[in-house]
Amino acid sequence: MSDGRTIRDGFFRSAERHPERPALTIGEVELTYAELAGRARDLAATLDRHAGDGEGALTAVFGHRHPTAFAGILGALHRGHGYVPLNPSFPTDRCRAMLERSRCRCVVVDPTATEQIDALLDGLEGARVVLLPDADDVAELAGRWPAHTFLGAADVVSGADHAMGESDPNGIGYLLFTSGSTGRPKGVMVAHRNVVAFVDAMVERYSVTEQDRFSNTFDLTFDLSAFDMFCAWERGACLCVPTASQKLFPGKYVKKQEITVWFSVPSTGVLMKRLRMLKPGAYPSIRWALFCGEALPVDVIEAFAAAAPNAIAENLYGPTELTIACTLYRWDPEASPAEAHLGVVPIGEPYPGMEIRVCDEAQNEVPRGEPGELLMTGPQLTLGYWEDEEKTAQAFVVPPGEARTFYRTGDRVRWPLDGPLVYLGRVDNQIKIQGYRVELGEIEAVLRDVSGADVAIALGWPRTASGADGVVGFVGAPDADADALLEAARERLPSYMQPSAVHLVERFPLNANGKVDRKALAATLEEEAS
Amino acid sequence: MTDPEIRDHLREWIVSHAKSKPAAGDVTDQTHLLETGLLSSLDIVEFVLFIEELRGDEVDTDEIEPEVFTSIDTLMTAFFAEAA
Repeated sequence: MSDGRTIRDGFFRSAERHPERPALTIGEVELTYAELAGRARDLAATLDRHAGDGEGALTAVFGHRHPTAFAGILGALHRGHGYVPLNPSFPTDRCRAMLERSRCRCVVVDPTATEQIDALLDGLEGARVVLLPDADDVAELAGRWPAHTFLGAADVVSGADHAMGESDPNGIGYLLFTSGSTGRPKGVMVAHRNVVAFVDAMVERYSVTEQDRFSNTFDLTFDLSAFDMFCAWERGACLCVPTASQKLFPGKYVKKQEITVWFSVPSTGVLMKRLRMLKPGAYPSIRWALFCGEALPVDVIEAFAAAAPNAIAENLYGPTELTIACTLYRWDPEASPAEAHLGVVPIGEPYPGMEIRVCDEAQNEVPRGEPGELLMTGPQLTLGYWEDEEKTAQAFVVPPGEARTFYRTGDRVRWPLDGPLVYLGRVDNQIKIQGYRVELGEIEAVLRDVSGADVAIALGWPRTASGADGVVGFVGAPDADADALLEAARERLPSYMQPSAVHLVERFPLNANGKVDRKALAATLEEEAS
Repeated sequence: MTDPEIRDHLREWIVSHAKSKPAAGDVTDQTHLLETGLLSSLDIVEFVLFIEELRGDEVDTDEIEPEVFTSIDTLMTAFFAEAA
């Protein structure tokens, strides 16, 4: 139960209990709980003084791997607001669209984003309050943008006596715009109580203490970063944020920071494996090795588990709409390989309080063990999409015979009676080829198997009105023999599933969240064809 | 391979892989490779493998300090000391 708590409570309670313990380390900078809480209060007090009347309940944070970005988030929460992260590594047009649509009046900007302020404000309607707590001089900006208010270091007031703003557990804790897809990004409204339920389940399961040191490999615009921050801060642990270049050498970073809770996308594990960073016994400090965000290959978790001999490895699964993660699977080196499907680790069981339905296209439950779309509900079911009733109604549905709203994940799964939930791929990745229903994930598994590559992608190509005429494969093995791979794959697949071509790829395009970008791959096929 | 040859190979690789498509002349021996976003996490695996190929020896990836990838100069010092 959330019993009236909101996301900020864990942090500020830890700040009272453990004021001198480290809360955040970035590069060479380390901030204690007292210091970070102090900064957050100062930012909250400063914004409250200048925000004016009629402001909504959201504050934007434009920043990245800098103490001010984290203080900005906590400052927003201290005000009683939800936060809207804007990512300086995204195209500025995209950040401006997020700012515009969320209608945040106040924006906290850290030094990594300062250079982009002009571009961010270009064409933006309405007056904004732009707080740059690290800037000595904001007069130039103020001169260029007379409609907006700019606050620099000298304008920051002490928040020592500043009263926290009221915070509603049903209100928005953070508003995240989904990325990586075409069209207008959807803003997922995640309520405070959603995150509180999630954090409660996690800190209990992982018995987090103030001695723990959490990795933060995710950008703030990726909701897995909320696990890092709020699970660490709930129990007085330290959040360890690698700089952009430290992030390229995760092994070194784990050792240097003595990380105890590791959390990344599987692609980071693939990178570490390829760079031979997963030597057996390399990371004795890790207690928990957690992965989420995309399909987790068995050989990656096996290598990671061997490199972190004191860790329990788990595969987490969940869309932003169900708050960070909502199912999990504990890796057991003995039993798990047999439970894996096509070389991919299962996604396991629902979180406490979360309920599962596996459904057909009409959202009727299929017999247990049959494949279908995963629908879920429970305390982590979010509030829907920001100012988009149509898309909310499409994805947040009341299935036939149910009284409650479920979220349609768009993911295909199978839930055997006697085993864990198995991820089969996106519903979109199931296509019709020459009339046959084909699961692209199955072709990908064969391609991975015959090539030994960690990543293989299959796309329906050329496309037709009803699906595709055939399949083209992309394999992450630049030095392989494409003809031999095709030959080997053909021996294992029925004719309609056999790739007509295999492209050997040195590196896959990744989307903003570090996952393989299928649309970009499809675009290369389109380019070739035109 | 001589020191200038290695530098040219490194430069060529960086220029051909950088997303921003710089001219060879834009990448000097002091140009920052990571901070400026010339090389991304996508590139680093291939780049390390390329360096290993050039020097004919493995790179100890466990012990690499990210600073080593600051510029062509720092790469030369770290990985090609005997050629310099």
